[in-house]
Amino acid sequence: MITTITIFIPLLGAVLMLLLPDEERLVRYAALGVAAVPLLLTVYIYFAFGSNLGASALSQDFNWIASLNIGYRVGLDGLGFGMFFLSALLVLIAIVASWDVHRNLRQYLAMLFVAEVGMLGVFAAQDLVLFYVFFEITLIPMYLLVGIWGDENRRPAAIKFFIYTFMGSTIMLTGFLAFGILAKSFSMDALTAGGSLGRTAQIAIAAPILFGLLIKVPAVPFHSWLLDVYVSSPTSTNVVLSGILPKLGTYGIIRIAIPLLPQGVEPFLPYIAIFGVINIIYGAFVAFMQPDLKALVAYSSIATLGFILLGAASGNALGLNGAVFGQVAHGLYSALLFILVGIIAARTGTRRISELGGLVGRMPWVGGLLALGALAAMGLPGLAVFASEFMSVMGGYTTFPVQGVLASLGIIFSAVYLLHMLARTIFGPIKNPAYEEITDAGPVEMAAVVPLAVLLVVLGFAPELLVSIQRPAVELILSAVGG
Amino acid sequence: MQSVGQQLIIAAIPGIPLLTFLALVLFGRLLQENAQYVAILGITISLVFSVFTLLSVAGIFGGGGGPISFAVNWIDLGPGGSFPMGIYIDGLAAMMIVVVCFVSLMIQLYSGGFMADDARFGWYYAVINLFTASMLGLVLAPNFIELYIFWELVGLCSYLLIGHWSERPKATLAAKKAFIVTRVGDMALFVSIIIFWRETGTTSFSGISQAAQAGFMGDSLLTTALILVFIGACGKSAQFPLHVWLPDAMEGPTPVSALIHAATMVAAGVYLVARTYDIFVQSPTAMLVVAYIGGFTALMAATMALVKKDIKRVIAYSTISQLGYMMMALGVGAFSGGLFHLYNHAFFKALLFLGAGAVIYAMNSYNLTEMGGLRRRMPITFWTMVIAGLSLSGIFPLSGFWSKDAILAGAFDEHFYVLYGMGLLTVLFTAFYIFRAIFMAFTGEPRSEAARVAVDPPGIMTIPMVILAVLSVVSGWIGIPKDFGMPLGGVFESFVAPSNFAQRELAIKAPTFDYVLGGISLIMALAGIGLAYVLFVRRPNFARTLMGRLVRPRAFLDRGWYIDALYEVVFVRSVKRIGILVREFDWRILSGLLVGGFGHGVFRSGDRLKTLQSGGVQTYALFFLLGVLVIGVIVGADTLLMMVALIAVVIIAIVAWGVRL
Repeated sequence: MITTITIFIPLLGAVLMLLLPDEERLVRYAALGVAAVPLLLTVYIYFAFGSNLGASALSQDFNWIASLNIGYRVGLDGLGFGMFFLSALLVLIAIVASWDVHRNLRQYLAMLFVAEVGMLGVFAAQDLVLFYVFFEITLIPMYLLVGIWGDENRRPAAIKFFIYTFMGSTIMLTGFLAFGILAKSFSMDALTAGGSLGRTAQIAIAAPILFGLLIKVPAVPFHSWLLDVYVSSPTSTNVVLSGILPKLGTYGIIRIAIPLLPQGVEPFLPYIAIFGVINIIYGAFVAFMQPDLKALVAYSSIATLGFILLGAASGNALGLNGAVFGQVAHGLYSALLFILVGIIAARTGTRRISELGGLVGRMPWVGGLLALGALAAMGLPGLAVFASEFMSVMGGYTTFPVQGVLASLGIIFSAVYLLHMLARTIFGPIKNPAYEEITDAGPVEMAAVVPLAVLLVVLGFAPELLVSIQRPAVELILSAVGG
Repeated sequence: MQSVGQQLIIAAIPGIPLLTFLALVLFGRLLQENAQYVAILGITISLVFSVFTLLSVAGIFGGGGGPISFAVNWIDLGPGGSFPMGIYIDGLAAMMIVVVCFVSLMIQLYSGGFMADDARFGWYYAVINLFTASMLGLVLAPNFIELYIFWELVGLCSYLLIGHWSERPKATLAAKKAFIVTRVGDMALFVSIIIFWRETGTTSFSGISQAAQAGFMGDSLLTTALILVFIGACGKSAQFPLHVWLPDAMEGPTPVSALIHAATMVAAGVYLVARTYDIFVQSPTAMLVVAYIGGFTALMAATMALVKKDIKRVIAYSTISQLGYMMMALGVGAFSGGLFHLYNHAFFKALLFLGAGAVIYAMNSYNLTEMGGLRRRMPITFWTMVIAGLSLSGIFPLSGFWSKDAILAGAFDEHFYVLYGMGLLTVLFTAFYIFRAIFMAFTGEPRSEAARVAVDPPGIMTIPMVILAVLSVVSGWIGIPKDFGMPLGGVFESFVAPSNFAQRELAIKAPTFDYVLGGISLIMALAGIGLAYVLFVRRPNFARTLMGRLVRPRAFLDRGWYIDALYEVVFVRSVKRIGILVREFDWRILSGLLVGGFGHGVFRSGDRLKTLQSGGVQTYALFFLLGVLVIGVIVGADTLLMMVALIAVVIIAIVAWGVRL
């Protein structure tokens, strides 16, 4: 019941936005108040049920369409909990960071809340159709958030995003439908280890599902929807877009494809690992010479997602834990960087790296946190991304040595492009005399970024906080794969 | 035996500088110049604790001595693998933590003067403390993952400190270069860790060593992994071919150079090889690689130092060269000799940098050709520099003599005659370049106005220099070979010898003193000093004409054998070119042609574009709702379905409301 309440509270928020008068302060505070509730509930779940996420208080199972065995089945497990928490957190932070949205603020926040319903729902769904429904619920509001509140290039960007990912999810849906109808159930529980399907059927079903999910991640070369939409989005949309949406893909691979279709996925795993390596190396190289700071962060995000793919493909406890943990770590650092880029662009009026420089002298907190985010992206130990990357690469190497070694090249390449970026943006002499006047982050802006930075450090030093929760779930995957 | 109190004290050794870091990040600007007192108090406590720990390990104080170890879980995946965080202190680690804390204290005292006018004084002290904490954590780590974590943090701190004056483009570039070049080594180290993990299922040093002895790893894989570890060490310890970052790192504040070169960062590579020595000795090939890379680096860097005009760069190349000695020592099996040199080197190298810093502080110039005659103006600096120079050159009975002799004797005894010869030649060069720098700076006539008015720095800076000068003389007296018959003879070697050594007899031999070998190296050192004296004090004009004649060889040495230029062409430019190529591919081919073409084909007309923007999504949403309802009607509506429909209606209403915009 708690899970269902958490998922649908944002819908109340959306309705509230519909009813409130057009008064900016009131709307913002109301939105913050509503968005805090799911976050508090997930924190409560962590402390009350952390060691026992399977508790009946957290799960619900209603038959929805009995003849097809489709149900409203929700529940939390260690694989989804981290992202469930992160979705609640990032929406709250996105609302704080929506300072650049003034026009039609109520509608904007309402869209954000609808998207939150979808995101929370995806990570709690225990039924394939329900998963798909929530998956799609995120899509429409995200499309509108970009298409209406984005920059001058927003329309083509939003359309490209919509078509591309809608195509992906439709392909995925065909896989789901075939799976559910052949196996006579859509319940993830019932479908564990392929239901009753043989290897050939599993492969035939796994192929479209994996393809749809890889587009969502996105795996290179299916990433070209990402750049335009990331660059065109308002800052607060970026937070959700980069922090949560790619994980719908990786989570689908880890939660659905691998445990439900172990024999079907097995022949694809080496290629998923290769996709991971390509993401890591290709993302770093494209990022290296990017003139636009936001595009650079977008490609950095693609590169880091590669480690999650590699870990997911490894099929061992270490790699899978790295991948599950990596989803949260990636969300924290990419949200942090996108907000900071938004702050820098608002202050300086540009995102072109060549026009920036010397910012750390004028804005030590923004510059310092940008450096922290960049260091996180390059997998610096002590920050959460490292904990996930070393597990992913070690696990990946154990299964696929060549891919593991190639992924390690990311250690060098990420340092190259990120330090190159830092050297030209926050360090060096101040290039534009107008920057002498700019100010550091204010309290509201700090409120948006500091929690992310703190969590990066805390999870970097104490990954066990999350690993202890996800470990039993990963062991279940392994037993499904082994059996 | 160890109590909880003792564990707390040991954990506090890196913990206190870490807390200092946090405190200064948050309150650094508030504290202003008081930041230094907070930092100095913290590091002094750490030093006291580490001396206490050293005495415990030695069995002099509390308990029967011997290694101390304890651990907590960091990541625990049960059968999937577990990664503890812990502490392991044997003699080697205990020696290192005392050296690190001590040198850090000296540098923090000195920085109070040197950095007094810095705009980011609090931040500077914060990073120095994070640096110290990371190095201490690295030294205390019992396994590869923990070591790697602190290893990277050490790299981060060097990046921040080298680039401290970030408004100088050169400093930012040097910082970036240092980080990236060492990261090449880091990647090699990381790959070695994952190899060890896959083959042995553990990351702990002792576990890997035992597994390797038990034959878990094939010989060639073991050698590969060890060479990768060594490449990691080469990155941090600036060994050929990854030495190129270190001279550029001189862009950082001089006390930082002292810290990097004496106790933190560059010592980490040598320490890593020493820490994993019982794995290294199982692969003779890896040992040979260590020995020859070390010997080659020692000689190569010494030649580069011969002609430098920048006082800091002379000392920087000297560090590369001396680290080469240490690696060579480890490679030939002179284990304690290499570490003995690491320990002695920490004091005289810190002093050389602090002395150079005093000159820079007084003159605001790095250029030796603008100095001259500083001996009378800066007597304390002069005499302490001479002591450090003599120790570096290896003059009896200063500390450097004993450790350098242990290394050369080790190479000779193990029949590495080529390496012995290279080491001996390096002795000559070393004595020459360091006294060339000292003579150019301190003797003769002042060659600039700044040199005429220079004075010794204030006491806060000279006191650490004097303390280090005393240590540069006496630190080595605890490691004089036993057969030389001194009271503290042989203490060092027996103390640092790893307690869990696999093949102790094979790798560690008690160094003996040979009067002939000692005499030869002493003669070489004196010859180097004499040559420098003749050329730069007696006959400076002759030196100048000679230099004028030797333009090409001089440029070859001055440009660092053109290794940097080579890297620029081979790596830097080609990587940039590939970057641009890939970026254009991504823009034009992948995004533009393939996907863009597809998109344009579908939505060529503006009208249809508009439909899809708003109406399309609405239609899609409506179909979605209708679908749900139709299925509901067919299957037979129940309460749940009605709820779903209601939610769907609400969502669609909100979406439609947004779409209207």
